[in-house]
Amino acid sequence: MSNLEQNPKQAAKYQYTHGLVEAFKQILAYRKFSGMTAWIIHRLSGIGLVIYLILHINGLKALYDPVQFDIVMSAYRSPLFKFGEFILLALVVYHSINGVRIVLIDVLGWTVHQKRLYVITIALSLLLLILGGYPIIAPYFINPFLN
Amino acid sequence: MQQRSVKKSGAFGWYFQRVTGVAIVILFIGHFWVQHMPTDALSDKDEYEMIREAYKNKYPDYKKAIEEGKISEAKEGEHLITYEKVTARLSNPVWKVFNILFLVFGLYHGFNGIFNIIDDYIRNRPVRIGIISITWVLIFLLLIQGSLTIITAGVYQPPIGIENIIGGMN
Repeated sequence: MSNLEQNPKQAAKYQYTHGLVEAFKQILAYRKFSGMTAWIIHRLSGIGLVIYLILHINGLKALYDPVQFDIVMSAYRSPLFKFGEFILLALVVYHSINGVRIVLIDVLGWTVHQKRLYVITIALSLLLLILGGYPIIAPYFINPFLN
Repeated sequence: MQQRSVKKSGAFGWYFQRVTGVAIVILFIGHFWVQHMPTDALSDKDEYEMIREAYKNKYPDYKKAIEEGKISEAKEGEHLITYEKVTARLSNPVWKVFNILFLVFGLYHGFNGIFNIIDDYIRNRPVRIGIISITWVLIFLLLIQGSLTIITAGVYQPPIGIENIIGGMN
């Protein structure tokens, strides 16, 4: 199988079977090196962000009416949504920093450093997630236990 | 290898995915700063309660919503998004332009990514055409909805009117 894929002439003849299940199997078959892991998480977080974008634009319909708007904002302040906001921040932070890594590799040709860059991506993402996420979740999940 | 047209090769999409990506990161920092960080753009607990009290007297529906428990209390140390401050910010044309750029770049970048994913996994022609058509409809609906929200949001001021402009010049 690996020989078949590495030979470009043969690769074109490699049988491709479509379908959701097949696509999922294919994702599992990807080689799990840093570049590939970075790419899979980038893709999945991208899908998550587009879903969020749709919900966000739809939710802001209420912006013309103060009553509707504050009802929506109150719903967004439930613990479940706050947790979701934290997850959202994680997706955004990873997607942006990994995106910058991709731009650095594409524009400046930093391919030699790509593995080290990936480690930095993960470390920087975690740091920003903690810094930015604390004010979001503290009033709900941290402050109540401290008082 | 034979050279393909820009459109077929997807070079345009590849390049602008990077350009819009960098732009979004820059815009996102501004967006995150005013919407999620404890700055003056948000209200703390005291200010929120003040605004709530004022709105309660101003709008009967607001009072009803509070009584029904649909508009909740602020938590200790929480910083909240309020209608008052969001509309005040959005009545500034600079923020309107900022948000429209954010919307357009976000939609372009996001759905360019979705089209790439469709290209990767969906090979069945009828299914592809169906999904791509639905996606385009969705993009236009979101673009119209989003722009309308940004353009109309803000503290309402009556139109200035040409006679006032001319009158003001004298």
